[in-house]
Amino acid sequence: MEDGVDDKTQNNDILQSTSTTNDDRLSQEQEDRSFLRERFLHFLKGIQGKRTHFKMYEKTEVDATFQLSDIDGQNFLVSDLETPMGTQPQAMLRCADIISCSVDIGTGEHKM
Amino acid sequence: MAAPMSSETDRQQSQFSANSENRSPGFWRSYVYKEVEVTTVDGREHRGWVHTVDPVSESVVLVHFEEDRQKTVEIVMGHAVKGITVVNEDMDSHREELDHMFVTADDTNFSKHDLRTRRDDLKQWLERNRLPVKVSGKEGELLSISDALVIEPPYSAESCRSTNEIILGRIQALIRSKPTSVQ
Repeated sequence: MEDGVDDKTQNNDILQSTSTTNDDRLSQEQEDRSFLRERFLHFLKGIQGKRTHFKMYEKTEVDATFQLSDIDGQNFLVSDLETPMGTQPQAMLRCADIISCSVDIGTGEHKM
Repeated sequence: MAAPMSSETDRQQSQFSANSENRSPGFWRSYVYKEVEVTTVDGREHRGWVHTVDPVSESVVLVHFEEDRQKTVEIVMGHAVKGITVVNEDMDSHREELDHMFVTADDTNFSKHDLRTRRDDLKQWLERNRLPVKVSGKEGELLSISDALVIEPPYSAESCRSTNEIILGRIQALIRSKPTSVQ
């Protein structure tokens, strides 16, 4: 029947436009993702070697020099970690234990 | 003065009460350049201008701008975030400053002519070291080494893109050892 054919064409058009919209959405998502991630990676590089204050669970707060994050963002490598038992030259902090970290980046433009 | 919050902001705020699924990058991107207050599971509040949100860990990178130009940056770990409220929607007030933070000297702007010279200079150096390098890209702005590695402007060691760590390391070392003028 004529109506049936029209419906099918309409459905195909809808499917076509949906898949195009999906592609657009995915590509926008990727663009957003890389924008955010690139800035984050620059941030990690920027705080490298800087004195960082870590606020952790159980009201624990420590100071250390930020060095690196591991690839999954599960652990931070730090140096000169101040603990009640003295300064630890190298240490690894589990990101799961950390609530927030603050770094003083001083005045003016940051140059590496 | 804080800009008045729109209904979209209210939606952003209320959408973010349950923390079960991963949110889309677009959602997080909408917070960048705005001033927000992040509440964490320990009850603390962290206020600052959003530099970025890591799409992997959903950690929020906030910048505090003080009067005497002292800047503090704070990262609030994604797993500790309970909620985010937009405090100032004015994305232009700190956009440029936020974009220039953590930017290295490598990202300085070169003129088109300088970029071309740098490209050719590097291409010569790579060829001198017997590497199969080709000019590629829509405007000839890229240097590719047999589909394994691509070098973008400004053609520094940090401009290399490759999925192979070993090749990347070798080429980067080679670029760093390039004399300032290739004869």
